[in-house]
Amino acid sequence: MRRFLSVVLAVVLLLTVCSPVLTARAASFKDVPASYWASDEIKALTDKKVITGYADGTFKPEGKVTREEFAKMIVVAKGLSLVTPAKPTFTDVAKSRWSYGYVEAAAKAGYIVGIGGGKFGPTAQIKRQDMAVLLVRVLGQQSAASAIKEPVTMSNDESSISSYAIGAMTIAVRPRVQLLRWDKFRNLNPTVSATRGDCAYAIYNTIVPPASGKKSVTIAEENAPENLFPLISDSAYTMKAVTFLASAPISVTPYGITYPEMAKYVPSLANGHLIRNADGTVISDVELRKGMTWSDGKPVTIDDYIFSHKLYMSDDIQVVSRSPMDLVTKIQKINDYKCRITWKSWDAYIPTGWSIYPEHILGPQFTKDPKSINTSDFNNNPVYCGPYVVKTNVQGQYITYAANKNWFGGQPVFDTITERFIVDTNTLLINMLTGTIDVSSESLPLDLAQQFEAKMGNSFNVYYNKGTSCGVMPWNISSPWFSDKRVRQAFYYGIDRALVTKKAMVGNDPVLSPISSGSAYYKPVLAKYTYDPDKANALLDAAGWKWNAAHTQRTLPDGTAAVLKVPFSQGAAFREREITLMQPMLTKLGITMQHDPMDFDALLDSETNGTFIITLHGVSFDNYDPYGSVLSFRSDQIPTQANGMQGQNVTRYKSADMDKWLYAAQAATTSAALNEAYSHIQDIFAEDLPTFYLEQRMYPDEVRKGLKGYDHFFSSTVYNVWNVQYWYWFK
Amino acid sequence: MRDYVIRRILGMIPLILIVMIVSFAIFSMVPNPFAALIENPRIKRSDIDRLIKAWGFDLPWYMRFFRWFGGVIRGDWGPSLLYPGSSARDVIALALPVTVRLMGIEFLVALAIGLPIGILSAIKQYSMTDYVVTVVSFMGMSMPTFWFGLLLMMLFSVVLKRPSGMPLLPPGGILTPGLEEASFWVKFLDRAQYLVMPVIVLAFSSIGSWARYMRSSMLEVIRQDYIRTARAKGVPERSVINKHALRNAMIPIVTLIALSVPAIVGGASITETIFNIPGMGKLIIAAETKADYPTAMVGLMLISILVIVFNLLADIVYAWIDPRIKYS
Repeated sequence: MRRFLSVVLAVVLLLTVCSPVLTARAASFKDVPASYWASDEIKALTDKKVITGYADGTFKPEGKVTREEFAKMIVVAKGLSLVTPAKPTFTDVAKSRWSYGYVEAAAKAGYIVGIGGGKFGPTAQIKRQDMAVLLVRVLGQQSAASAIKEPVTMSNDESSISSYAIGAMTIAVRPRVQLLRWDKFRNLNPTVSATRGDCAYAIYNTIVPPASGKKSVTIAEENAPENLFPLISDSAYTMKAVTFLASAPISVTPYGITYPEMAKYVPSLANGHLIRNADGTVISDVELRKGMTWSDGKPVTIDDYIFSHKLYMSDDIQVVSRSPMDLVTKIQKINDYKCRITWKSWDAYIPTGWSIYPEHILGPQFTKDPKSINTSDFNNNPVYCGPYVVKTNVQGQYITYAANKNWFGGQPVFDTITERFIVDTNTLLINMLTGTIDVSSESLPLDLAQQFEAKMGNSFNVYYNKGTSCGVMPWNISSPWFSDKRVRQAFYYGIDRALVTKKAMVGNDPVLSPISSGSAYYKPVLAKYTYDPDKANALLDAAGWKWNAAHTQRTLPDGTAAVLKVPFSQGAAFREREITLMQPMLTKLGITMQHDPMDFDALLDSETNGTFIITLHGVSFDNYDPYGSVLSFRSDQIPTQANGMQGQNVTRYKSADMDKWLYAAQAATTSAALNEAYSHIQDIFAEDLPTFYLEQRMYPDEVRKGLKGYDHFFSSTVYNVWNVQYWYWFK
Repeated sequence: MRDYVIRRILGMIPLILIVMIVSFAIFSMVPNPFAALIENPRIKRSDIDRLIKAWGFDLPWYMRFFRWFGGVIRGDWGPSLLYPGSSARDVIALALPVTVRLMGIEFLVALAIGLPIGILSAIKQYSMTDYVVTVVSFMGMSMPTFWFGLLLMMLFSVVLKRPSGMPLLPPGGILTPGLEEASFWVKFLDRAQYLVMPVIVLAFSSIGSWARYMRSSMLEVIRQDYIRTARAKGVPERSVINKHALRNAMIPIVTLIALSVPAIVGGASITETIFNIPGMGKLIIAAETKADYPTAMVGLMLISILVIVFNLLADIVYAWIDPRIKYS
């Protein structure tokens, strides 16, 4: 009996160990990892036997599909019976052809009409726009498609859509259809052949449309928005909430790519809508799509856009940022949808322009009393033209958004979205553990996110996103402390930045470049500074920093003791931890580091006035505009009386070589020229080290499994809800 | 008495002015909130300078005070910095009812439980009941509210569930999204369930204090000669306690109750934060740390005026229930 039991036990154990492996193998292809963008759709269609893989266990998701193969896929997916008429519909699909029954079935159902001349082109690869045309017919929306005369696809290659596919492509990217996805440059590539992955995705969404699942989602935020009018708010939570409500003429993806949303195109040198004159002035065109309405039904015109500029520039309104609107010298209205703007000088944000506000609501108030805009009813009950409108706003608790069914990009998937605001992170964690929240982004600190993952990892994905914010210790190069490059290099070698970052619980990696790691021009030039206290000591010796007799403390070449007070913003707990962690590392170099908590205003004043030695605070990079983060290395940016102490180069770094490449980057108009300039800028930075970068912050996102379209990333200028109208529950 | 009250009311005016100036000066020690904007890559130093000027942070505190006070006299308490786009008065007006509801219920619950157990504890001094009441009272007074609050939430929201799988009690907040159009009673019950845990947490800490106050006041009275006399002449024990002892023991308690009323408006910042209640406590702390002096001042002045008024009321009530006290 005992022997029998042990055999049973052994078998059970063996099964327990093997079964997950067996199921995992059966359900997937070896070249389709779970992270592949269409892996869920491929798996679901394989399970339904609509598509099959190859004998070697692969699916070849990037392989191309012929038109006859696609016809077969859709016939199988729709469960149509094969049709074999005596007379072939197309001259190039003969009765003897393997696909005959499928092509005829699809033709009979009205899905395919051929390529003209009685032909179908069975062996030609199917283009993405043709796939859209075909599937829009399957969806029964061909009459709606033929009524569309101008494309609304919010893509950078909208103009390359063939005229016959304009309607279908417009419908194909609508939130409740989603047959196609944009690539990372925000192109739809209409004339490119569809891959097997593309086809699986499109067919799945045809037979199970995105709106088939639950049509609501609950999102938790750490703070409530200050108001719903970003013109007068600096709060990220305001920007985030307004992301649901407002579309912009030109938007930027989290990866720094501009794309036309309300506008028809992004002005560029290539399309001729952006002109950079020899005298430095710039001209750009803004052309809005026709037929868009505000959520109250009033039409959107270029007058709204021109009026919005007046709001930005009014001194009576507490506008937070006027960049780049303050560079505008002239706005010329061309027609009701188009204007031409003249700018004083170049700025990376010129192509994106500014946000658009409704003149029919704010105009009369502004004319009567511009100051009244500061406390206008609009601030909390706004009218925009985005995918959602405010349904209920219980201040400090939650906002419920309802779908704006008239959104120009198509009806959003979710009917309602609830955004809850929970300030205390422990309370937020408890709320998340109850399972009543679907998405939380950048709210839980690293340790709580890990706890959450340990408990709820089965039903939630936790993404650890590298942020665009980081820690920086600007040092004063005009002070005796940091004037010698070797000392600056010694700090980079003598401080284990990776360890400080991890132990201070703010991230996993140190900053490796003065340009955002999400930027196309990023080069990890600081990786060469690995922790090496011996090298650091040798550099300090060479720089003339002498040890005392007891070999416990160094003195600077001018004789002052190497005691470094590091000012940081009062109450910033993790900055305090970072200094504590750096202290023993610097002790090894004979430098005593001390905490110096300070009022943040005073800290910044000391930087501007040049009365500081070193400070520690945060800074954010911008994936879209790398120039913003390197401008502070240009010598004309050193704050002086002449520039009204407005310069950003507080470290007082000067290098003719750096200046040369910074000006080159500013003047560059091609990506090759930009690439070259940014490459040099980063190399010079890594050699000269104008400032000391510390941690690259990490922000965890917790997202319920099955939420499709969620794009996890971190950007300090674009929020996780940037594409919320396209999210849906996978069914 | 009338002269006394008039004199006291007139005395309040300079007092309120002094409170105003001192609190304004203290709030002005918080640096302006715009410096941190430097971390935003889209905001320039010139934008920050413009904002500092627009909000008056370039002026010394006393100049800002006169500017603000000028507005107050005209009935304008200034715009909120915490919620730009709203006036400080509107921001307070949203938080006030939330706090009054929470703290009012908590106050009544604490009195309704604390006072009887204090009396019981006093008349059964050194009994098991007395010991249990004393231990529990001290526990309640010394337990940190944030810890107790989180513990309750773990129990009633994460561990204990309804048959539907939803938490037994909602973990923080004040109402359920989606019930805005529901009937009065549905909304009433919905709001009530959100109050259960915060009221337990707050009441537990104050029940202890009320029980201890009541117990010592009662003990002091029942040792008096007139209680012994009452008992000696055969008055039933129930009447001794209710008629003779309790009435006299209530004199200091009534004063304490009057003095505690302003706290109903002040809120409880920690409990409000833990339970995600957008009340006055949380608001005033947030306003103070973000240099939103207009909002902080409205809140603080409201509380200060209530404290001053209820002090006067306490004095009047004191004279009314204790005939030995006379104001002239």
